[in-house]
Amino acid sequence: MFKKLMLSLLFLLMAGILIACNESETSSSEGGTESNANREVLEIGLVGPLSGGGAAWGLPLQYGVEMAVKEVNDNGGLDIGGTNYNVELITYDDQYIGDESVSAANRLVFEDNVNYIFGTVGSSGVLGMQTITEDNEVLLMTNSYGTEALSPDKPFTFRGLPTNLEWGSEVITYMSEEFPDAKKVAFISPNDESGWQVQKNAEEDFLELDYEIVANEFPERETQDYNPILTKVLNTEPDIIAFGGTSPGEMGVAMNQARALGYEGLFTGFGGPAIQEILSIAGDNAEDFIYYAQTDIESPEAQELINNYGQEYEKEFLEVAPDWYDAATMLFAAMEETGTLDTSEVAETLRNMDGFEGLAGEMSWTGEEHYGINQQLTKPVIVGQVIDGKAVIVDVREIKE
Amino acid sequence: MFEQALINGLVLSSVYVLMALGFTMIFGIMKIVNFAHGEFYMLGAFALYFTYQVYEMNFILAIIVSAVLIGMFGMFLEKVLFRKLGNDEMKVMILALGVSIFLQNLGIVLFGATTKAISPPFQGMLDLGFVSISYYNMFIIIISVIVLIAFYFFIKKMKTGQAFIAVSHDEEIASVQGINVKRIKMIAFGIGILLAAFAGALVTPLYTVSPTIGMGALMNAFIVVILGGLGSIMGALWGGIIIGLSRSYLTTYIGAAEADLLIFILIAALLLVKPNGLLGGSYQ
Repeated sequence: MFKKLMLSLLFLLMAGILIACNESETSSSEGGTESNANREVLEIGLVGPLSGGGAAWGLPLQYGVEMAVKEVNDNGGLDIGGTNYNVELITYDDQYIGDESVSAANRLVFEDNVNYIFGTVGSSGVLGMQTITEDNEVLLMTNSYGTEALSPDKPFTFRGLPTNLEWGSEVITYMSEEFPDAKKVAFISPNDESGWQVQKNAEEDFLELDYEIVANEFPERETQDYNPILTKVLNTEPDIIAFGGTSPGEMGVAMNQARALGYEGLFTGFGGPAIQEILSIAGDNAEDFIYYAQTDIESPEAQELINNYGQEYEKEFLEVAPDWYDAATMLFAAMEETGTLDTSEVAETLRNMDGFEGLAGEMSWTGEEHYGINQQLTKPVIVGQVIDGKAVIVDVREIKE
Repeated sequence: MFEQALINGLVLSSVYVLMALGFTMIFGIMKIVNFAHGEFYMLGAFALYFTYQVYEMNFILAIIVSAVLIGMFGMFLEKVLFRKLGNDEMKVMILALGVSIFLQNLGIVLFGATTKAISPPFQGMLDLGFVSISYYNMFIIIISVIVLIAFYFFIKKMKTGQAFIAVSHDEEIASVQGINVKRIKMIAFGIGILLAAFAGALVTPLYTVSPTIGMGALMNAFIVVILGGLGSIMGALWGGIIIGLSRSYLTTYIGAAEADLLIFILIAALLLVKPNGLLGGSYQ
């Protein structure tokens, strides 16, 4: 009797969790509080790693876009050619697995019939999704650090967050000005497409400013024990340890282990910042970590946004969310300005938007030089540094085209 | 650098051996390839996070409580799930995979996707000039050696340990000799899980905790056990030491990406010569 009861309870628990997981994978979010009975519905897709190892990148994407959607709906919806639309999000979790991103894109385009998709993050997922979105003229507002994501034959893909190809040289220039004696750089980057690309771009930026690259290591993602790698790296006596696309959690662990091995130099990173997560893991060991802060989360504008629409979210993931909010807000503005939902026309409007006011300053589209098409978002480079155990904004620099 | 690589390798070996011991013991006695082993490692790490970091229990006590709690949870799962499928290895393997997916997703639902960290209870390091070792790394090596010695005496000197060996050789004959095979299997599963949880809890202050850390830990246990021989206790010991030291030295002298590649090539070459691994084929 006891066994049957326990089995039944276990079964019910499993069923409940599976149902909950399924709901979270395909959740719709309309946001807003105002009555929207008279509005049309505009369904927009969102794909990202909302669970698993990439959640630190996927949840800010979800949070940022959701905040923009809530704000739009609260303010009367989107006015597109005289018709009012209430925005609804259809969200899929790809768990940072390329195949899952493609499956989600398939469902969004062919079953849900959406014409606009936010996400995913990561090169393999984005490149896979593009095989569906480009052929079907679906506008993709994405983020991956791979250069292949943008090209003239992909006119419907926009990268809504700058990569280190855009901001890397500014962060390095800051380091060269503030720490002129630090000239030897050791790279630790994940052994995948993103890691190689980020490292390659950053290395070129360092070499342009006469730095010396003394080590280049590519451990697998999810590495937890960096001691053997660091032993090799520290033997080259670097002044700067640079992480090329390493996840925040792993960066924090590596910082702890580097300091335990006696390293006293600088750290820098060329992936997403997630500084609060790094500080929660590395604490004082993250001292002199110089990073791209994306948005000043403490600014009055960012705080107002979070107070209004971000209270329900996990705080650790809110620092990158404003960037996605900015990208979403800009896309919604382009839709309204175009006056139609035709993705070709909206893409044309978007690509020509210049000086759009976002939370991090004026935003524009660039990329002709590197990618052959102006579909890369640029904005002022906010540089952060860990000083006395705290994340401090130390500089704001304009990107040089 | 040579001495530092040795220290790094010994720390890695300690964790690999603890993980692989439980994994290989469960296979040796129950013939279960426990694909959920990494998730019990993850649960051990989370148990320590809550007992030590959140509820501020004494660190040593927190590790023991974490490992025992997860070990008991393992025994419960053996009793209500694994036992029902008997000796059908394919069904049990699929069940283990299901339990792995379930526990990982349960971890995400219960603990969130955020990476968490615990500060080592002993800060600082011993610097001998030619090599430095943090006090916590020393603690890991010492505790692992103590656990291994205790485990050795348990298997060699205690009745239950002897019963493990009997059941691993032949369940029917063990049963005829008066051994309660079901009970022994449940205890063996529980101890195997306890070791995984212990490893997870022990290394948490050096690494991070998240619901997905189990996959990497399982992969390492797999590599060690395949090298040492599936089902062999001594194989897990030697496999763990060889892989730990190899990874450390190859990474230090050649490179991180190349180290993993070389380890896989070496194991593949070894399996061509010894298909059952270094000490495979017997539970010893």
